[in-house]
Amino acid sequence: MKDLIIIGGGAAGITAGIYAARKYIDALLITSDFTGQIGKSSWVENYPGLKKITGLDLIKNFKEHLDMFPLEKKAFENIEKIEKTQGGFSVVTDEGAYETRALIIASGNIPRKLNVKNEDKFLGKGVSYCVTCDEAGYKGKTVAVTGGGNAGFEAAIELGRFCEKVYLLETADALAADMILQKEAEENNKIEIIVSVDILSFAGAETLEKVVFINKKTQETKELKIEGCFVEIGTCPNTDFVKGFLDLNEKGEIKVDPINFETSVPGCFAAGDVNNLPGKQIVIACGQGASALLSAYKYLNNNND
Amino acid sequence: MEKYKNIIVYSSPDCAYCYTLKEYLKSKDVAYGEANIYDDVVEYENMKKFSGQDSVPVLFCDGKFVIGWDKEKVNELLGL
Repeated sequence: MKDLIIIGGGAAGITAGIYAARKYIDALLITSDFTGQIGKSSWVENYPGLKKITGLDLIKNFKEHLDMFPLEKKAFENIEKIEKTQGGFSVVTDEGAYETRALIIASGNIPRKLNVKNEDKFLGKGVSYCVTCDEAGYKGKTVAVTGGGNAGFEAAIELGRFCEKVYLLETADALAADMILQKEAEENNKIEIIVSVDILSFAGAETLEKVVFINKKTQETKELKIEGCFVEIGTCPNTDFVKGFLDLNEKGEIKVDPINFETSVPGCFAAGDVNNLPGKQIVIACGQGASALLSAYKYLNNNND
Repeated sequence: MEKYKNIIVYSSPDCAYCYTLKEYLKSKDVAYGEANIYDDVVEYENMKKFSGQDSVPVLFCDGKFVIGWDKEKVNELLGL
């Protein structure tokens, strides 16, 4: 039995792993990948000490830092369920089962789909959830980005470097992105921002040719001719495997004590984007990973029988 | 590994899913070639033709392929 299992290979999980290794905790980190949401960001400009870095390079740096320490890791394993046992917890993955006294869940989140007509039909034929993966085919073309948060603006700015035209479509009346990103997008005459939009469907023959939406203020239905649409409307917590085991909020996020990050089950902590606390940011996830580890360390010391 | 000499990963440089797929293949000692769709237009067009779509990663092996990072499908294709 391990003293601690950390689930997740993103910012929170890796930080918890580094702290665990430095405290010589007998810990195991299990993850489906070592990219998290960071690796899917075009670039990161708000992580102190690193002025501007691609998301993938940043998470590779995190992983290299973790690899400095002799922490046991199981990569490419998908968590299937967690159960309470007499001595702690059982973590079941698609590769095996592991026992632990304490647990930190930092499984992050997964991209949300629009759930509109023909979204699946044009997946890989114009519709994409990953700008850094799929932008190569859209040089000189007209595309759309859905989502007016930081991820949406970062995508639009990235695509604005080489696309002929970029429409940024936001469902709300106001934009949520950082002002620095909004200003950069507004200064790029290839980017056109349209708010109060509900996307209805995608259309085309073999590949994507247009997006159909309704203007919520005027109730007018409109079409835009596009060849690509990048969906950046946020994320859902990756918590399917703890449903019925931990208390979740209405969004499916794990409820935690905001001081020590403990969940509804003693000895089980949750850090980073997966919990119900506000501020889904890399630097906050790192801080929560460290704090959750310190709480788990205290729990282990107080329950050392 | 001789068994896997005909494997190609179609990828782009900053693609997180491509990175995970390549790391997984390395962890299984699977040798592969790589086609960077950013630099290689011919291979990019080839990938679009055989896979019917333009998203990466695509794992190609002896006439069959897997789109995206999907461990189960990768294992099935390569017999892992």
